[in-house]
Amino acid sequence: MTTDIETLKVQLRKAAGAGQFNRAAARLLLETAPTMATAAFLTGAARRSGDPSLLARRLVILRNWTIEPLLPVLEALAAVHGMALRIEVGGYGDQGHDIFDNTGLIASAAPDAVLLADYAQAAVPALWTEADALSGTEATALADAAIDRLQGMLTGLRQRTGAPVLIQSLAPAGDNRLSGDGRDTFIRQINQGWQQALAEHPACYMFDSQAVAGAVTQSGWYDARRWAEARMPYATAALFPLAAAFYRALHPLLTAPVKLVVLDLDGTLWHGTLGEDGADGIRMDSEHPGAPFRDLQRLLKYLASRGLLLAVCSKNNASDAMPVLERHADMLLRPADLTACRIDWEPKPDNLARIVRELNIGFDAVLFLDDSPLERALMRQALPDVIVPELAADPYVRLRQIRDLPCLNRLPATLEDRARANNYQAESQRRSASQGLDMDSFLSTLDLRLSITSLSAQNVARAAQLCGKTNQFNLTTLRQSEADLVDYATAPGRTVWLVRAEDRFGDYGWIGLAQMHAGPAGLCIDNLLISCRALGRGVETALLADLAWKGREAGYHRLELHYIPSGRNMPAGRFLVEAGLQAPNTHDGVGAWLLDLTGALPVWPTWITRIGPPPSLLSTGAP
Amino acid sequence: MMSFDGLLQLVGDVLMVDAESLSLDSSPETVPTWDSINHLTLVMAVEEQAGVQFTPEELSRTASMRALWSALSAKGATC
Repeated sequence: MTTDIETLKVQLRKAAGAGQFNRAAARLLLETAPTMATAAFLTGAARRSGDPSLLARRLVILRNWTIEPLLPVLEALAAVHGMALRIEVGGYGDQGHDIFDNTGLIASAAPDAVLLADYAQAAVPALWTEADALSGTEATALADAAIDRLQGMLTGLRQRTGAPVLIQSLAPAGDNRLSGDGRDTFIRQINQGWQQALAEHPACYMFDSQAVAGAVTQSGWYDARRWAEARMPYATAALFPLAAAFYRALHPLLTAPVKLVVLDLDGTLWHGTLGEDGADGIRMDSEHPGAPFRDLQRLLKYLASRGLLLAVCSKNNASDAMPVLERHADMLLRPADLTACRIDWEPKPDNLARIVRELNIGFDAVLFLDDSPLERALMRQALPDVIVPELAADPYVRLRQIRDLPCLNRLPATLEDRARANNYQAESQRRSASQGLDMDSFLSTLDLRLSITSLSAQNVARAAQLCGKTNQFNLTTLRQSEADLVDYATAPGRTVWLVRAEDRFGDYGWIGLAQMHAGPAGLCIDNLLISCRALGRGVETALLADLAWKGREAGYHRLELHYIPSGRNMPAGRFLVEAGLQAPNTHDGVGAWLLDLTGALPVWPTWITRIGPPPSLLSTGAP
Repeated sequence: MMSFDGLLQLVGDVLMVDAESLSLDSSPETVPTWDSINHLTLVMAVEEQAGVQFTPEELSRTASMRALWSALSAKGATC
């Protein structure tokens, strides 16, 4: 049975126009064409529908890589599973601020679930930049630091939210498939430490990044060029499988798992047709062709032990089928494992509806597994809320499809964990007054070090690149070339500062720039920017503090920061407000923001160490 | 490979705007949701759909409908 993509899209558009999200059609479409394009289409259809039956859920993602391209897939999969998932993504590398600060996402977004998306090359850059120079002790210290960092984040999260947390384990070095230079050993060491750390924090779970490496093998999952360009480490081909794996892991954090699985017998629970092949001809033993059927039975039996209800709906003679269920030596599932058995020649939707009514559960908590495309289509048509996945004809492929169904995924621990998490949160809030971890002490553990120097031949290329690429924390968004910067810096009375950052995890290189000249009334900052890689850790405050103190030292009475709103540089604008600068009298804030240097000045953050003094400023001619 | 209509549809879906409001002249200047992050998502979705790969240089050069379509045409897409 072929499914026409365009027909499904028409159905979905029509339903969306009528205020409904057609989940059955959406599922079929995603299964037929599992691509980002389909996901984007479905996300649009779900949002436009405004379907009130979709459960509102909020996911907060704290990350240090560019996870955005995965979001349409997560949102589409959630919609297919009955949720209107709103996803809030924290700033790049901004986890400390998002967890600990009252203006951070955890405090402001009230998440139902949290995803900590970490990528090794961003979390521990030294493993890349200094891989050959690291001694064993240094590498171990790095691994310990990465474990401390996660401990800190989890402690902070548990003090502030009861929402379950999924932690992305660090992926192995993607450019390391054959050489094996030891980085993967350290990454494994960190992941093991993280796994142990999780055990101390309730409702925290791990997502295995290795999974996607297995899903995409042909060309590899890593794209070094895209990492360098956009901090997106995954190749296009890896994106959908990765997002689907993420969604599968997130699903039980966001909503209740299915309660009931309704199963067909012939061709689903065993190989062959009982009515034709007889009890001796059907196969569900450990050899081909019985093996995938036996494995499916084993999977279902395990899920039943975790609380899933099983029922059979089969077109067969009960007098033939019941003895097989009761006595066939190769059957793993027995009548005692089944909540209900409907073995007759009635339409399956009728039988399923009866079972569901007896159990008093919703149709959307029911999964229907049948190898017959016709029965699946009939079920979708009659009972659109029942989850009816498309299944491959090949029973080995089908087994994997069923195993990967998000609605069957269960948390490693019980739901009581969630209640425990809430208690723990309350408990730790009580304690946090005296000994809790706050943002300052978390940031202190990162051991951030800054050096501020003048523009030079060594850094001018990077400075131009910063001007070209920085959008968010960029006061003017003036795109300046190397020549522009050199011209500026060599003009009389003008200076360009560059900021370099490193922490326990490695060297971040040049990440900030400030251009200034001596004005008639004060020190004029013509341009100031900080790469988003370094935001949220007080670098901006440190830079402003140095400008202010050095400015005062040189005899200036005020600092003038020139601001041009671009539509994308709101973070820079917000900083000016938060730092207490006086806004110009313009409607959109364009113009010079003032800081009085005769009053209280911004303070260099306690958690940042300074390497060397900042360059001196030309003193003002008129003190 | 991908048709121009297919590209319009995909850009509309990713940027959350009506495909009919898009044309060869659409760009980040005319579509407010077309920022650098959505551009990355868009390029990856186009790569997946059309079975092509863009270099970092192409990634930054393709931030308009005309540029995206001409880059795609150069890789063999047809109307």
